[in-house]
Amino acid sequence: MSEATRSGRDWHSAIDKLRGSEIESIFLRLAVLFVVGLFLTIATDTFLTQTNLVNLLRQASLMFLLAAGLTLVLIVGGIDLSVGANLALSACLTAGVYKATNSVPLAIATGLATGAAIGFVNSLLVAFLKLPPFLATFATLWVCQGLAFFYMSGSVIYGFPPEMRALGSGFWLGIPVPVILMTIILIFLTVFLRRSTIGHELYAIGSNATAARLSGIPVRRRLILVYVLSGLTAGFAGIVYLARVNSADAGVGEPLLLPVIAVVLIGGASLYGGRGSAIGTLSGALILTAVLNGMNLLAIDSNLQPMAAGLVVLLALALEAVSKKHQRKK
Amino acid sequence: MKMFRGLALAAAALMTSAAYAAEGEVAVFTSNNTDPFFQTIRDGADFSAEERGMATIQYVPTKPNNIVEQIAQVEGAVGREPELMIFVAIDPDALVPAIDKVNQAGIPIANIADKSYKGDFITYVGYDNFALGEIVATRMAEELGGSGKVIIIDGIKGNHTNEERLKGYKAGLAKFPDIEVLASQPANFNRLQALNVMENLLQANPQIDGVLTIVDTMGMGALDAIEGAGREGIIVASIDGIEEAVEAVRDGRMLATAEFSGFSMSCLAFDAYDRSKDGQEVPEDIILPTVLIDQANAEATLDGLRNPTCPTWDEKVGN
Repeated sequence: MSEATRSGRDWHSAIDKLRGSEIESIFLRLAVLFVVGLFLTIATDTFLTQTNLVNLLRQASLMFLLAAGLTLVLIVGGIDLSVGANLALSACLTAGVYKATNSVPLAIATGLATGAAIGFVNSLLVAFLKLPPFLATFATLWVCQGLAFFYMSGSVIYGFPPEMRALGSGFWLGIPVPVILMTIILIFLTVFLRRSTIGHELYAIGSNATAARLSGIPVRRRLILVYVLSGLTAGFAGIVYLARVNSADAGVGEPLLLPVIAVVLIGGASLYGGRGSAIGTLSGALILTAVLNGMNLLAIDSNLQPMAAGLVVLLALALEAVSKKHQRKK
Repeated sequence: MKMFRGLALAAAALMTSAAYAAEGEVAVFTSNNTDPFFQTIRDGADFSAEERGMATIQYVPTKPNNIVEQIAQVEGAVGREPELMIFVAIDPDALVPAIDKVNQAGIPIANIADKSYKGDFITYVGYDNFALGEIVATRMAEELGGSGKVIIIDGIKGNHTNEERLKGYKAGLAKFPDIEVLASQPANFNRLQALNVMENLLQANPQIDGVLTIVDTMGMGALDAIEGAGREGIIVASIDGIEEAVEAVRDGRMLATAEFSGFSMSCLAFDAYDRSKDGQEVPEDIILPTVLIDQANAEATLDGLRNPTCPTWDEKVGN
């Protein structure tokens, strides 16, 4: 038996094991979400109302869109620090192209192309130049941020037509459009990661890139795929951002970078790769959004809010650590 | 084009040796490239410099509001010996040693917008943020007939401008015993966060009569949430007087905002320099008059924002 097929078997069985713990970890996250939800339902009489839940989903959807591609990057053991700056540059260029041409399709195409192009550059740096993803995407973060600063030169572009704003603030059959977009991407990503060979290969690369290569996985091409997808979802999130707030400036990305990384990590992905799921990232986005929503509903003192948010995140992570310890004892 | 000129000058600066006395050069220090407010300061400085046949070099930290970077920029600029420095302090204390170096080199420097606690400046030009808050809150309370439920959306805790405006809001509302402040919630000067926070607060409070936000960008977010939810009869007011907000005031979507013009601050800093050069008295602090913007003066304010010109010294400072 050649070494390649042997390690090939290894990663298949490793994936099976991983998926078992993955499912447990998703349940854990839903449990955290349920506890937060239960607390807020008891503590307020406004949390568990249809309109509030619609708000919650809509607020979480933007985070999820930005985090979706990033989840894939973390699964292969990479990181994409450029997503926030990518969102900003894509939003600014989308806004600028709309104002110059009055064409919504052209503007949206610009945003998507910008996002994907940034992702492609990242992928070349990581897959071909073999730069550490942290440094490569840190550099592209600055390049994108600088381009956005230069393009906008301190200005704000605002005021977009209803057909464009519908992407961020419209409704379809009573459901907010960004929530529908989120659901489509959630289903697509889940099927992709669970059912497709490529999806399985991503976990294999993240668990052990050398073994993955030896067992015949085209690692380079897969890396290109995930970084391009990460760029593409960031660009798309930029368009939805613009549509939601009706305005774009060069500074919109920076405040989102740390929260979006937190969302993916709370969602069960690991900085060491091999872990993560779309539904996990969704629960991460919902947990963080529910905490912020709950603090507003409870009118918690402004000074205490950062601490309260930090404590809930810690609680979610501590719960996972305790449960992992418990698993190992079994 | 202005940016290209700035870059060209910066490149020229790198090629020539330091300690090169640049005739008619004005070094302008602002806090970031993200908040459009600082662009109005840069525009005002460019405008004023051009009027005098001078040229600006704009110094902006690549990382927004980065203190260390601003210190390096100020120290670096001292070596170029510009004729004048216009300076926004990212931090009131941390920049003091760098300002000492400017003073030692004998370069005239004016402080605008965000104050440095120490240092020898031609003058400080700014607004009274407390008074801005008070006048806007009073206008809102009067519009509500002296009674109603009001929400305040906060910026970043501990930020000087934020705290002063917040105190002003509260002082303005406190004059009306039948006005109740339902909640004061933070949104970090961020439009998206203000939108989210307002959506949540609309849920939590079946009756809201007024919303005060610390800056106009948050006001626009709050307005979007209210209009998106289809809630009628909620009055929104804010501070800054950015173009989009003044348009909303003109269109009757927003009650009022208050002028906070970076352009005027720059203009008056140049005027103060001219006067000090001529040996005239310059006040230690130039506090610009508090101007409320509501439907009565929104159109005129918009004209001013779109074709900005410098106010006269007499108009804003007197004598």
